[in-house]
Amino acid sequence: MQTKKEAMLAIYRGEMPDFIPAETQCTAGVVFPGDRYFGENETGDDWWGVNWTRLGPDPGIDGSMVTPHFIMFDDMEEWEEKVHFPDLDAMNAEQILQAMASGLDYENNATHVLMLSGAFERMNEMIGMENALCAFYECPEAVADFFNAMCDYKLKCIEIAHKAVHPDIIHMHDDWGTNSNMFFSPDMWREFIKPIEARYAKKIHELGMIYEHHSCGYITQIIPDLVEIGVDCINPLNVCNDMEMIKREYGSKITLKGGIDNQKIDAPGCPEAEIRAEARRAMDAYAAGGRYIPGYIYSDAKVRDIFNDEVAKYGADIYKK
Amino acid sequence: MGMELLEEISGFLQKGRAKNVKALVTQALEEGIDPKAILNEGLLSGMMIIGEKFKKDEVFVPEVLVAARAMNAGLAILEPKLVEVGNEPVGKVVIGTVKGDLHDIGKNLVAMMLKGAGFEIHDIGVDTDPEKFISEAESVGADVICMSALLTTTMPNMKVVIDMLKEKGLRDKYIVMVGGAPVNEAFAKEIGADYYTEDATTAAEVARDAVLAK
Repeated sequence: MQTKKEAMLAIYRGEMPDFIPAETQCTAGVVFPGDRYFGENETGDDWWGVNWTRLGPDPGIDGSMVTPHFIMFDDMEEWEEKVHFPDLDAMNAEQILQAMASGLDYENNATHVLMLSGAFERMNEMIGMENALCAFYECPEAVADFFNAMCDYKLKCIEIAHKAVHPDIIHMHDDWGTNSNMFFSPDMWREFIKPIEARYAKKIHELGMIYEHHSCGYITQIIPDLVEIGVDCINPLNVCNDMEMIKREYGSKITLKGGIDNQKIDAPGCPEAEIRAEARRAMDAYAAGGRYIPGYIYSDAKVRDIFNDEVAKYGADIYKK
Repeated sequence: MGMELLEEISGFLQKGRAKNVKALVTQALEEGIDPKAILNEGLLSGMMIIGEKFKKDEVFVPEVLVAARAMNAGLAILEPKLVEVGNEPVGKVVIGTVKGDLHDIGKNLVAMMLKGAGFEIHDIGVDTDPEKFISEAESVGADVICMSALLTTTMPNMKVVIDMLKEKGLRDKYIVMVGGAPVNEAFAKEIGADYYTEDATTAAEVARDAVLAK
């Protein structure tokens, strides 16, 4: 019988798990420094000079976002002059990560290093979402050059993360979707973003790690592309995606984390029975054949704990039926 | 001749070519074309076509944004002339993201589409106090109040505004529209809003129909 950690890693690697563990019971990780402000109230500048504001009192639940009306500059043509990539040596990134990783329970957890702010997110954090989306049309060459420079930077981060933490998983973040569609056309994603994602996949695999990518929103159109470049796991696959099709066509080729109707279970006053029913529904729908992790972006600690309690209970016997 | 020029303006607007739109709007005015025709058959018709394509998922947010920028570039030249000929907007809209919520992409898209449908927009931003929706609507003489929320935790603040309108005896004075990822038809009905729409283009169409039927 696998341990929870072994079952989780089997799911990530596309091997058949004995059961589905709750991710909160067997995964742990650290966040690569520099992409947010982690000081008091999580409200301040990150290593790039972008100013962040935390939205609520709970750092585990309330996310931080770029402070409203903050803008570093507004024209991507100027990025070479305006963007100062963090000096990872001077900032002691490796030592910081080592210190953070010293508290990780490697024995009982699949471990990851979370890398926030991918190329598109970093662009919109600096110049604002509307300027960023228009930049694809107004100065495509500058966007492509910046994304390549971002990719070079992230590849260095991946190497440092590997050396300092030895994680099982590199968890890259870059949001590409809204609730109803991608932020930009799939072809635009293929032109500007797919090449850098392929470079991440190659590097992560060369170093013997698993590549998990996070993108909120509807990204159904590019799942085949993610499979093609070798992304091992995609999350959180919000329920707006065509989960049935994705499971049917690609469920054996990429690990799916998500498919949870969190807009329903996070709605104020959602009964506990409905939260538990949603966990069971998702496992019934997507667990066949393995490569499935029930999970979503938690925004309420009580709901998270009920959800994961049900995953642990129902998931324990899911492959014995 | 005039019609061809207006179609050209519409075409460049749809491609987000602000410089071309500005040049052609200037040319159209020099040729003596009615500013209202330039607005309706050049700028707004182009924006309407982009809106329809967005609704059908044929174009994405960047294409809408560059088109809206081109529309605004043309409008900047046209607006003084529209004032001279006494052009009235379809109606006035107060739009904002509700208290506690700092998200504005969806709200901004709806504002762009409403502007493209001929509305005068009063954007009161994000994290908006309930009182502000009402005081702004009263102050500008709005027809429509639009509220946006991205978070399940902030969407109940839409009801706060509607309840406050009722308390002040102002509920029937305004068309109240709500939207955002977690919002749906049932929620809109439950809190007493007039309309919920799934996308920005439909929001503009529904607002226009509702104001014209008022």
